[in-house]
Amino acid sequence: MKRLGLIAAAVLLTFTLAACGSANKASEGSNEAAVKNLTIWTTWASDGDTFKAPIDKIVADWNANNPTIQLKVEATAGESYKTKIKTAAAANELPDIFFTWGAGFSKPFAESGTLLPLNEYLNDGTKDRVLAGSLENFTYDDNIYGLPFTLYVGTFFVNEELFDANGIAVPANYEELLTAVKAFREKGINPIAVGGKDLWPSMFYYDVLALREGGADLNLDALKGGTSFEDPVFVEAARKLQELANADAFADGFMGLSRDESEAVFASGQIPMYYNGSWVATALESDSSAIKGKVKAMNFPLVSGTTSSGDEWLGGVNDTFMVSSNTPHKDEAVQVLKYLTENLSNEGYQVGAGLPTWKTTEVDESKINPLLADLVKQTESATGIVPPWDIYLEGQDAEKHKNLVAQLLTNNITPEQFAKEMQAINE
Amino acid sequence: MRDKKAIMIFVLPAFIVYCLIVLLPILISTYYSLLDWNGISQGTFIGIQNYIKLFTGDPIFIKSLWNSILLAVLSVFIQLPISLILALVLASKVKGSRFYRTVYFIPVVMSTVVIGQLWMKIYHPSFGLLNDVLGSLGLDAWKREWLGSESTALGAAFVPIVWQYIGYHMLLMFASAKSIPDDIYEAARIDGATGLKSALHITIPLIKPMLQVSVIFAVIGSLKTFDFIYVLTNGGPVHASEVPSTWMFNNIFNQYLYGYGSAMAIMIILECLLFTVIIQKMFKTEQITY
Repeated sequence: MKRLGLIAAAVLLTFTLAACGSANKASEGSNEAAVKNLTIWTTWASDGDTFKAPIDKIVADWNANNPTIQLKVEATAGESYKTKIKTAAAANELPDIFFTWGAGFSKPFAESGTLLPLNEYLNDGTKDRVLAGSLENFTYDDNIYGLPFTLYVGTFFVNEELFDANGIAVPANYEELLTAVKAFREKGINPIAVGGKDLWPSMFYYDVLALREGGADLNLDALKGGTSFEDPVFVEAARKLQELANADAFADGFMGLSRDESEAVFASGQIPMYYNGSWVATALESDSSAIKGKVKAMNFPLVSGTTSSGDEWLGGVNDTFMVSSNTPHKDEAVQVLKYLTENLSNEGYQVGAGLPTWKTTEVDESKINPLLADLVKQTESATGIVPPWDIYLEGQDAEKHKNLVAQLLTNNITPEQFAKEMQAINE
Repeated sequence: MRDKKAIMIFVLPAFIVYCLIVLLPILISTYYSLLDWNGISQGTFIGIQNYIKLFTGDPIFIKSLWNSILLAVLSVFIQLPISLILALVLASKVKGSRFYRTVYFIPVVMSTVVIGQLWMKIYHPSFGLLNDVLGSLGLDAWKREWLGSESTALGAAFVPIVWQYIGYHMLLMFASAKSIPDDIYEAARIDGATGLKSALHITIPLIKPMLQVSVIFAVIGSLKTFDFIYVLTNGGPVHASEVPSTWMFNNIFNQYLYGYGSAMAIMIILECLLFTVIIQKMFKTEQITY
């Protein structure tokens, strides 16, 4: 009798623990029969995130108009979002619809079959309503997996007030850039902002220099594995980046600063130049910005004697939403996906979060962020767009590229070694 | 204590839970470490190739190992002596010892990310506290890009790590010192041992078991440290401050090398076990009962 009691107690202890874990599940899906609940994951968690307000508005509108399909947004901020979706993909627990990045980032997801191919859903004219070529980054093995909602371009932000106050001319080419850098240094001002701790912000400077040296076609060809990275143009781009670094072009201690930290100094009006994505425009033109109305957005300075024109940009359509192949409501999820991306494209442009990717013109031009409106005009004549390399290359290669740029900036390798190591990716 | 079955049965629930959340994941990771796997699609079995690569084809991992061992040495020889001195002083009934105890313990209860953010502000190259203080003291030549330069990043990241846990070890040692019965001190006083003498010959030998625990915690904590490095430098610049766990994280989540990263995780576990055994052998203390 005593022994039996002991066993019963032990079993009870074990099962109460086990029961704690699964009790929640049953209650969640109870009203699913009438209402289809779809979960959307995003990375816009704080009010400062440019797409936070637009997506909240769009989802609220949808939920009010579609009582049978209810959307729920779950947001996770920053780099941890990447970890979260990778973990979820590995466990096959992706939500119905989720924000992700195209090209190399989502390729493993597509290959493992965790994503829903959208081809059959897009023949209703959707393909013609998005910008030409904007689906390219979301296409793997001829299957389209995502829809675009924002276009970004690498943008050279210039604090004109600082330039004027110090009597320095805004650089139009690389030589003038170098002169401006030295002039600012002499006055004790940090010339260029960059967050080297996050690696990709400094990579932006190399990638745009490579674009300026070699032109869009050659860059794309090299990324695809055609042209060798040991081509003189890539060596020269590396040399120019190192030359800038050795001229102390980048803000003091930039290798230890995150993007947010370095951007804050530019936004406080203490640094004259900053090259990063067009998404920065929103914060710079917000009411709390110290340099509102003093900034000019333009393409990176040209390099004389090369074929690259000012109509070639670093950038692309890379942010997207994709649908999990696991979702029980495939048709509804795709319907929501279309609604969501088209409206985000419009709303996002309206509030200055990014450039539009859907061909809809119901936008009040006067209310648009002037920097973005300016960029839309400048990019209308774009002849070539090259994605930032870490987007195009895959995980390991992207990581290698970013680290090689960091080594260039800290003079750990020569431009020739850089080119050779880069070419090792293609071999 | 005689009913062995009862003991077994009552230990069983906790044992099952322990197996499920500690041993099982380690076993699964060991299996993963034998795969060439991106974490999402199907992996292929490659034997111990990942382990061979760790020690022959990955200078960054070797460097990160040395960095963590350096951190362990710093913890044992800088952090613990400070903790010990504080504990001894506080245990000798100084005025306001409760107040100081709380003050020294505050960093322990704070989140490491918060402390990391705090120290990032202190180290900021343009308007950080440290550079400002150096500047106002006229020591401009000593100013550094603390977290941004390869020569200082590791050292700069170590300071808050060592600093945070001083209070923790102090409390362990303090509690242990307090549990030494007063009559031992009284006897010592009669024999003429006071102050430093009684600390050296009575307190320290009697709290030796706790010192052993502290050393193990400090060494293991250093070997598997992650949070501070991740927040402060993310292993940079150019891997100068990389430790095994940040490099493991980078491999798994940034480079999609799930199998290779798992091999690193297993190596970290083995390394921690090895050091625990070594330290226990080194101390070989006898049980003290009062």
